Formats: sequence, C-alpha cells, structure tokens
Amino acid sequence: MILKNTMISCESATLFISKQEENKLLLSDTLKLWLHLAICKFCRLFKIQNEFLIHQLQHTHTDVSLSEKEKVALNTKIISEMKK
Amino acid sequence: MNTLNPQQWVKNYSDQLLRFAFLRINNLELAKDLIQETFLAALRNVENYKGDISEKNWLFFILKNKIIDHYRKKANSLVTDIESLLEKSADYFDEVGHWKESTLPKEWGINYDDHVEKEEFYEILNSCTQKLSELMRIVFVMKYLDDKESDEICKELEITSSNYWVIIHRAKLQMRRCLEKNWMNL
Repeated sequence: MILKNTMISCESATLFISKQEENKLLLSDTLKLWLHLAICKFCRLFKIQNEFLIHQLQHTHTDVSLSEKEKVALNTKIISEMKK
Repeated sequence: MNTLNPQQWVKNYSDQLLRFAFLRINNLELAKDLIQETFLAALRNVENYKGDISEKNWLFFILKNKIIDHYRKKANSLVTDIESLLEKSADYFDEVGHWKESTLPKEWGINYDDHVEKEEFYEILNSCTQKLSELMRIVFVMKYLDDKESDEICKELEITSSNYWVIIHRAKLQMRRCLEKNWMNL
C-alpha cells in the first residue's frame, strides 16, 4: 500500500518536473518524483531534454525588421504627432 | 538625466522593439501596429517621462504593457479552450498515465550541456513555438522568454494556477516532441 501511494505515473511525473522547476513542488511530491526518476528513463529524458530546450529558448532570436519605406512613414507620423 | 529624442526613435529603436514584439506575439503585422502604438503612446506621455530610466527602457516598458494588454484580451477568450487541452493529454499518455509507445522520449544523442547556435535549430524552435495553441504559446513565452514567475503570469492573464499548470505541462510535452520530430528527425 505504501508503495502504491508512492508510485506516480509518467503523466504526474512530467507535471511534477515543471512544478519543481518553479519551486512549487511539495516535499512529499518531491520524494515521489525522485523515486519515479530513479526507475523511469523516459521521464529522465523528458527532464533533461526540457532543461536543454529551456536553456536554448533564452537565446531565441529573430531578424525581422521594418522596411525603409515603413520607417520613413512611421517617422513622418511621429513628427506630425509632435506638432499637434 | 535622460532626455527624449522622438525624431530618432524609429532609427534607433524600431527594429529592436519590433523583434521583441514579434517573438512574443507571433504576428508581424500586429507587432508593427504595436510598435506604432508604442511610439504614439510615448508621445502622449512625454510629460510623464521623468528621465530616471533611459529612453530605450522607457519605450520597452510601454511596449511590454501593450503586449500584456494584448495577451490578457486573448487569454480571456481562450481560457475556454482549457477543456480541450485537458483531453489532449491522451495524445501523450495512456489511461494509467504511462507514456504512449508513439510518444516515448527518445535519446537524442547530443550533449545536453552544449549550446546549439545553428540558425537551423532556432528556425525549428520558432516554428515549434508557433505550432502551440495560442493560449499555450502565450503562457510558454511569458514563462521562458520573459522569465516570469507563475504567480505573476496567472495574475496578468487572469487565469487560475491549476489552469496554468495544465497549460505549461501540455506546452512542454508538445515542444519537446516537436523538437524531437523536426530537429532530430526521430
């Protein structure tokens, strides 16, 4: 019975991983997660791959820009607003 | 003391502001509109500018508020989608909560501590973010691009914390799978 209450599903484990990341996981659940990760290589992979993904996300970037025409139009608009 | 120089705003800041907005709202036309609104709002508030922060930071501050307003409007109308998100867990887990055979995480064969700089990777990462449903994308971006606390996100979007966890959980499951499929071709 103790074992049954201690074993969590992969669905719960992956949710717990997110909560743990934000320090919102209860101590009892932290132990359950720890136990689960000790025996489940798939959830271990989920955890490590997510950490990788999140780390990479911090460096995400884009190179979109306004065209010269759009810049001129926007600047004209600003200048005309200033005169009001 | 900082001063304002509106004639130089477009030249100095429009692209930086646009990139910031585009990564967060995923719609170029809308991002452009927000940049214009930011400049016009700034002009209307010139008298409130105290010079205690730089002109650039002040413009970013205004833009960030515009983005949050946009998110909040969206989130209110999207929160009804939460039910369908709950059902979506069936995409990943069976009835007892085990990974489904088709979505079992696979070994990627990389060093996870390495930082990937390839442009191709970021294109895939951006395309995966764009594939998230709108509500998932908003929450995910606020969490991981803007590094906000969950409490703050819930407050700004007016969503409950249990909904927050459902959203972020599903978003991460989908992002990981999307990257595995499109980047690792697994």
